[in-house]
Amino acid sequence: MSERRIFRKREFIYLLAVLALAGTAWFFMSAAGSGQTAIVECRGIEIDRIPLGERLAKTYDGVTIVFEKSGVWVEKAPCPDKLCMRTGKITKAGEAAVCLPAGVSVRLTGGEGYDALTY
Amino acid sequence: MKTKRDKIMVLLTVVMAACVLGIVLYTTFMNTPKTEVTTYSMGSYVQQTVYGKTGEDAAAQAANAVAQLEDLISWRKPDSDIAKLNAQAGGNWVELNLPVAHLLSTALDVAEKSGGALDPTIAPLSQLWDFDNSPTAPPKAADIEKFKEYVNYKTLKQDGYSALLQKSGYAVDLGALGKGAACDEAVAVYRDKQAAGAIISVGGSVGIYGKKPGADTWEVAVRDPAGQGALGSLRLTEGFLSTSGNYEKFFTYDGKNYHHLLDPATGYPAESGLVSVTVFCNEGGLSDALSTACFVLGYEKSLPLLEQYGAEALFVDTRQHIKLTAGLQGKFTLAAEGYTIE
Repeated sequence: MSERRIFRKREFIYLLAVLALAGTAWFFMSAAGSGQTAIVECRGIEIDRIPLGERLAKTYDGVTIVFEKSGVWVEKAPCPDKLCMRTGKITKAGEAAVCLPAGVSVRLTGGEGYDALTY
Repeated sequence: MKTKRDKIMVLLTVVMAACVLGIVLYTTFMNTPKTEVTTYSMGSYVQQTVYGKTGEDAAAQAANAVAQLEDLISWRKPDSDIAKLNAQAGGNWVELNLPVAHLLSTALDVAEKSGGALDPTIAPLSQLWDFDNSPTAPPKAADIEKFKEYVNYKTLKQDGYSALLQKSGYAVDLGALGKGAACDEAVAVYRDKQAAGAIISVGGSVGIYGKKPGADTWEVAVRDPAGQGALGSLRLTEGFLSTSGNYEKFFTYDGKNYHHLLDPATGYPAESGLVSVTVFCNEGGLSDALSTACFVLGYEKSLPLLEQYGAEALFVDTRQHIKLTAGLQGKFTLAAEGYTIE
């Protein structure tokens, strides 16, 4: 009487290979990361880089920027037109809020988002 | 005949092959160098993302090219071609550099075909309204009438690399084309440097070159005219996008909004039933010129103009209705609430 096995040897090797590949894929996806980071620049020079998480407010050359897990916005700016404040909350990679008079900008990178914005 | 076990084995093999392919593609694309550079030119924020081994060099040269174009076309810079042309109004022909000659030619062509909805000699009016210095009240009606008489593209003559303003008091302002033209300059650099793919935003104008690693298209968000964030996004391949919207520069006086997109025919901000127009075509300066002209003309009158240039557009009107020309249908995804696509 022959012994009844759950897996044949060939099937077992296949299963192991699939699991190994799934693990490798998971590793790569984890390494890429899904979180967003805000990059603050002054006249094109990066001056701060903040991974989004806990609420945080920082001021750069008179421009107050609020960082939250859900997005980033300019809360206060010294410029007369307040275009940066009117931009509102940016939430996706590729979006930016810019205070031209102060030369301060904040943009998002990482996670899902856009390649550029037309306005 | 295949058993159930055999079928499972085939399925597992397919899964494995897909995983291997996915990992190979992923690692390939992750190995494509990506350069992100932010600079300021033309009174705007310039953001570049360039893929490929030459990305860093290409981005640096593109930033220089944008700055150099500004030096040539800004009427505020005394040594620019346009400042010299304005200074010689009613006098002599002025020699132009190649990019300025090309841009002026585009401006005059769109001016002619749009019946003056875009007018490169808008400077007397645009300087009177002075939207760049955050005005709080409109100019006096008498002044608008007076300065409007000094706006007429037919007084501007071009012969190859030379141009002449035939009458004194007239002046050229290429601000309506400048940011789009800057995208042209940058894309020429990406092509010259053989970048794998690149995207540049100069203010609200966007230039797209080559392929984005790991994707068939580039995704460009269109600003929501009524609110914050994106109206939606367009999935596009190579080309240029510019948007003209009444939300960008405006002030409120006596309960009425005054925006910066002036109608040369009236001297006042254009009221065509539109709040925003985004134009997509194969040249940046042209896309910028057309977006301004289309905003002034309104939806119906814009269609034949766009057709003449093989350009596509997305219109948003005051009722929050969105209209797309045929070439953009199926490429736009609406994200904001409260809008209807017609």
